[in-house]
Amino acid sequence: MASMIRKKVAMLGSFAVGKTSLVRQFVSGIFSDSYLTTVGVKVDKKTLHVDQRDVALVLWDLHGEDEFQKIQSTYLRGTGGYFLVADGTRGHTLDIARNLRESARQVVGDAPFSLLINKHDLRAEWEIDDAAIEQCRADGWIVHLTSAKTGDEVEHAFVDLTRRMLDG
Amino acid sequence: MGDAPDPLRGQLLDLLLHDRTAAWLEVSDAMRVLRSGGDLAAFGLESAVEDVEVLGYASFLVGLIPVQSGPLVLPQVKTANGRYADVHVSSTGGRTLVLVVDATPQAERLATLQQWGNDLQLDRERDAARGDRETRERRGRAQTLTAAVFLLRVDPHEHQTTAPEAVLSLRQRGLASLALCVSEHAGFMHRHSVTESLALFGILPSDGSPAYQAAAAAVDAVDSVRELAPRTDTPTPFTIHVAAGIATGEAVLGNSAVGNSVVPAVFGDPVDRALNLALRAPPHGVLADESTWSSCDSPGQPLAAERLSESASGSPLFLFERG
Ligand SMILES: Nc1nc2c(ncn2[C@@H]2O[C@H](COP(=O)(O)OP(=O)(O)O)[C@@H](O)[C@H]2O)c(=O)[nH]1
Ligand SMILES: [Mg+2]
Repeated sequence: MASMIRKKVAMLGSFAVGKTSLVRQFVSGIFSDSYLTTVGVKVDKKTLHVDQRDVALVLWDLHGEDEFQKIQSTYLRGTGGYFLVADGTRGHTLDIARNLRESARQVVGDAPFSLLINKHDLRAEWEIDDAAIEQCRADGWIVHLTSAKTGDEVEHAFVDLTRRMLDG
Repeated sequence: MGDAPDPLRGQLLDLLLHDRTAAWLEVSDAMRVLRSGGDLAAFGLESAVEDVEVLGYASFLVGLIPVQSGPLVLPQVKTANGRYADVHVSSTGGRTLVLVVDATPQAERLATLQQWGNDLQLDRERDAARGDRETRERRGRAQTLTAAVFLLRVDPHEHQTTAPEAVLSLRQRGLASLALCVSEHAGFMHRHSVTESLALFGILPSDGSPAYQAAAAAVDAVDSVRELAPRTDTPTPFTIHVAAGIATGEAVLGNSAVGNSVVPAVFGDPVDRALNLALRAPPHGVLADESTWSSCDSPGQPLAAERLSESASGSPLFLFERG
């Protein structure tokens, strides 16, 4: 039996954008309103069946870049694909995502990635507007508007990234 | 651990001396475990035994083996059973050595500090979004904490000419040493204001009582400064004194920085009380008042406290010493 396909996927973004919540929604289908900051990195697993193949995703939920911790590039070694996560209600988190894209590129080169603009359930309060989203798409980025709370677009985003990792 | 591969032995010995739990794996390029040892179960790695496919049990290694260039250190990886570990990975000659070392206390301390900072930052962003500038600048959070105030004095000996730089450098070493000791102990918050000779720390509870942690931190910090003091056989022209006061109570944690940065600050009654106590403490003593002392009880505490005679205000004061 051929050994299982395994891919490492990293979650990158400012703190409190919903990285941990997205992973938890995707892996266990649950959501919590309380915010517990992530220290270091938490590694989770989930197996997906994509295009007749079983793929074990190993999800690296990194701490958000903040005053106390800078994301260490060593965490990104061996990454097959990654998500840049921004919080739609906090405009500057998109700038942080753009910066993280540059740092990530230096370690993982052209590995596939998607931008997740999260907290879509709070769309009325968003600071990130359609023009900014269109700009990202014009730059060739794949963008999903997700909600870790309702689960909207979450599974789809992971399946899409997995497919692109398998094609790559 | 006697059967560990040679390159790991020295490293392991050092680590064990520091009392940290550790485990190790030796893995082939075909991802098979060749050997493993140490406290594997502590990290949920008990199934990573000889001949199993390692990635099924240590998924954090996916994509990493073999390590392409030089050894790799992954700090504070949360392992299957909730413990944090620093993971060291290095590959040579078709084999990869993985060393997993407990880092839970460090990670938990960082979490306390970071949670507080991130919460504060989120509050500020929310306020800013509301355009509520005034609140944003003043915003604080009330919380029970223990303030620790240290008074540091560097005295030239009699008949010595003063050398200001030497005094300054000893004072700075003293302050640095205080900061280090306090941060080692507790959800260390912040060196709030450092004037010529005053250092203020707010100590948040990370586990157990903040007063207890503050007392332990203060005693350590005072000891560390005392160690900077010249030994009798090597005369130097200065003496360094330190005294501390600790007080528990409701304080406000705020941010004294403008803009987007975070410079934590602590204000309120415990700060004033701690300062008063520091002023009255004997050299190298840590003084607490009755309410702080009574919230300090903790089984197995390494401190002894001496009940001082009635203070001027009529309530007893408590002096801590290393037990
Ligand atoms: N309304 C809403 N809140 C969310 C969503 N995702 C995360 N949150 C909340 O945002 C906060 C930060 O989430 P967390 O996953 O810890 O962020 P991380 O620091 O990026 O891991 C928490 O209070 C979550 O409950 C979402 O899609 N909608
Ligand atoms: Mg998180």
